[in-house]
Amino acid sequence: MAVPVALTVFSTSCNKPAEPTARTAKLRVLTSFLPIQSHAAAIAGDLAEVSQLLTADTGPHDYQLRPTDVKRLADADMFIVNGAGLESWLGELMAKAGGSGQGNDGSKAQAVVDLSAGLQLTGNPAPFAAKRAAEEGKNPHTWLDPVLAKQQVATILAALQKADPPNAAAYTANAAAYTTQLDALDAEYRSTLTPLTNKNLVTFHDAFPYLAARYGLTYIGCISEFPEKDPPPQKLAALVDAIRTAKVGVLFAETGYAPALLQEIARQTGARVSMLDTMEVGTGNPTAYLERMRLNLTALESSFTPAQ
Amino acid sequence: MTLSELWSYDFMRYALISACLLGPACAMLGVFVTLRGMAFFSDALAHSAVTGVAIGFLIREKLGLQLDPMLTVLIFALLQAAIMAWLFHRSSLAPDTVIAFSFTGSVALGVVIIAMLGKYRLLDGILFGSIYANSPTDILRQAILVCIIGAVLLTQMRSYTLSTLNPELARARRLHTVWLNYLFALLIAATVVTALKMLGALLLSALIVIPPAAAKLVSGSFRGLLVISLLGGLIAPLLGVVASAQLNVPTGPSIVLMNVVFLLACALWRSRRRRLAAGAAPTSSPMPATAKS
Amino acid sequence: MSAVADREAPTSARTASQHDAAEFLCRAPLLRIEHLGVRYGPQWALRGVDLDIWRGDVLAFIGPNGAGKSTLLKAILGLITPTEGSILRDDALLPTGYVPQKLDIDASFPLTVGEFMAVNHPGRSFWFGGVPRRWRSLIMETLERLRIADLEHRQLGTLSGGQFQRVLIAAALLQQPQLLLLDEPSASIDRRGSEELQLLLHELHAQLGLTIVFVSHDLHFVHHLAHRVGCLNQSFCGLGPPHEVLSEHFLAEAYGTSALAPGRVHFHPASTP
Repeated sequence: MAVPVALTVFSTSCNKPAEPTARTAKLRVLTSFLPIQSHAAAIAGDLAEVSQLLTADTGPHDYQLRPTDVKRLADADMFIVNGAGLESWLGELMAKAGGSGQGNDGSKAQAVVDLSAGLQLTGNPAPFAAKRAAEEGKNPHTWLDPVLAKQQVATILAALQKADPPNAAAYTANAAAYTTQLDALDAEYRSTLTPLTNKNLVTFHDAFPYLAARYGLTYIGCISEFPEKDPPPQKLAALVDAIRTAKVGVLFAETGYAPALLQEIARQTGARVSMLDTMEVGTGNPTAYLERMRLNLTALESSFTPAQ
Repeated sequence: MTLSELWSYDFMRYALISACLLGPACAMLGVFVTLRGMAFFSDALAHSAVTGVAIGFLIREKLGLQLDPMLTVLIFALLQAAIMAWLFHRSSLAPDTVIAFSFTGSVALGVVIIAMLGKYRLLDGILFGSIYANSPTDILRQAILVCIIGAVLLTQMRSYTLSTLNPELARARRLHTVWLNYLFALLIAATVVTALKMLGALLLSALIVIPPAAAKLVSGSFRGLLVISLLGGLIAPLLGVVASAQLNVPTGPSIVLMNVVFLLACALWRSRRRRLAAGAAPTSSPMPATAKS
Repeated sequence: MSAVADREAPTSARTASQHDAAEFLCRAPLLRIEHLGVRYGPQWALRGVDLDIWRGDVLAFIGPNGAGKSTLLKAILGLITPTEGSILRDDALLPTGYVPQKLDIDASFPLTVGEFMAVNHPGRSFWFGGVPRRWRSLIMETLERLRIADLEHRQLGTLSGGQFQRVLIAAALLQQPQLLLLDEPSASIDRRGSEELQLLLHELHAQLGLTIVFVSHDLHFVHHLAHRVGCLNQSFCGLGPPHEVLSEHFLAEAYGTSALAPGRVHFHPASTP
């Protein structure tokens, strides 16, 4: 997969200021949702204008572009996405603009930076996880693993340096500082979770397989294949069995969203309900990702620590 | 997976009980909903749940009051039912016009509020619902609803039939048609709110509309209509749940498909009977001599 | 023609003066309407209507469309509150049977004649379709009286106009009425059916001592059935025996001269004047 996939829409809709004359202004970077915004804002600092496309607390799974979004996309110099099929609604945009998104050498076109490039994507390890047609069953929730997040940061850094060479050194410094913080986060996760036993993870949707794999959690499964869609009874029965067999004590709903189905399954299996943040909704800032990851760690720790 | 295996799961038992409660209740109500041409009305109320939930969140965010979402949904649905019923009586607008504008208006209001609060995820939960999310409290609620519907319909069935046939005749018989209409609208609202969790707004209409429609195809009397739609309302959701367990397909759509199968079976039965009647002596045909002058 | 002969028998008491006839039947009016006015928005449907309805009366309201005939019927029935004036009833709970205009019923509406009767039964009961056993004898007796007992299991929507009208009358009779109000009883019936209906109403009048008030456009029907005819146009422009009111002079006044083309005879059904 090519690292920066050039989009025809950008070249067709704003090819006039693409030449060096526009370089006097700051680089305008658009990011798709919270973690990417956090990373990009941390690396760019004051050197570029970084803004997030998905405001209004909408998640990237079922997003639909609004007319103002198309304008924002057209005005941006660069659009950073998570990729791995998560932003499938971008395809609509490409179709609308009449371009295919491929076959463009992108010499002066603004770029879409796909952060999933170069990452080791897994399928869906959990027995109840989604088959996402968009990306051959690849799970897109890479950002929830701090180590993968570091690779994403590196990709963002490379893209920024390429687009704005005069500030390359400053970007490198910012990225190094941010990466240090990510390393610290990773170390915290490791030191906190490693001593714990019976680390069974059941979530509402399949957002945490990378995190589970990284820190040795047992990913039992998720309740919903897709957010808010009813699972067939056999799968639900299998999940209930798995929860009982593994003696799972806590089911994880998502911050601000505790579906009745999850609560009821928890009640029927005698589990508690706790919250994990998938970071799919919310607005990013340089510290948001780190803060939310730490809240998740706290939730995981208290859930896996046996009650006295 | 066998039935007995599935029966050992709480969520499955609750789903089946819920199907046994809500299916017949919706079908009974549906008899009058369809006869009165109010199918769209129940649909409108189901979708107004979007607004009810949104208002609940608005109250939570702006006033800091924690309310049961079901409560705000119920209150808003009742409110909207009452407003629509009032408009039927008081305005010269046709009922479908009233329903259309209050339907779209309330949904639009809900979506605007949700957009303002940025809680788009709420919408899907309302529109789809989940039959396996039934808790014992939900079952209790549904049982109470069934009792209320049963009591009202058993005592008021003749009044509703008469006022459906001809409101003037009903009023000449000193029936309080206005209050009966309000009561009916409130019953629909309560049913919609209670059943929303089982099927969601999109599929709820199927439970209300299809069994009576199927029953109408094959019954020649009101008793037949009631009994057959009751049976359809009981059997189709049950089979829907069982089929979804056997075939490993999502349950809501499976219930709706079973309803459709029931309807098709009734249609087939009717055409067969027609053909038999036509084949037999023409005198045995119960066709109208002069249906309408 | 037999209809005419039949008509003479029970109404032989009718004399030139309606008052005498009424006194022959009863001393006090069953219902007295005093200066009745009904307004819909700015439009008066009825104004200054005075009328006594006597026990045993057979009274017809005729008049052009929008003259307030149905409004008067509904006011008598109590469905409309008068804007002014009053309606005094001899008995506050005067049992009244109402026969609406032929209902528009979806032919596929699965309601049998028997069930329709059960729905109209004044008693209280749980009901889940069918004909409750304890009401069956009364219902069948009433259907018998209208000679439609064989229709018990027929679906309402499949009846002919005349059959339907009888079912509606039977349902009204279940209320054990003293006063029977009919809105356009002959409207959707052919000539023969309408003659049969006349006979039937005569019979009910004679056998049950019913007071009958009806609205009709069918002057033929009115002439053969009514003892008194009220010609309405907001208020009564004529009220008296059929042969007086159904004269050209009165009709011209009520319907306007244009409605009375030369050669048009009163006894023809004038459904749309």
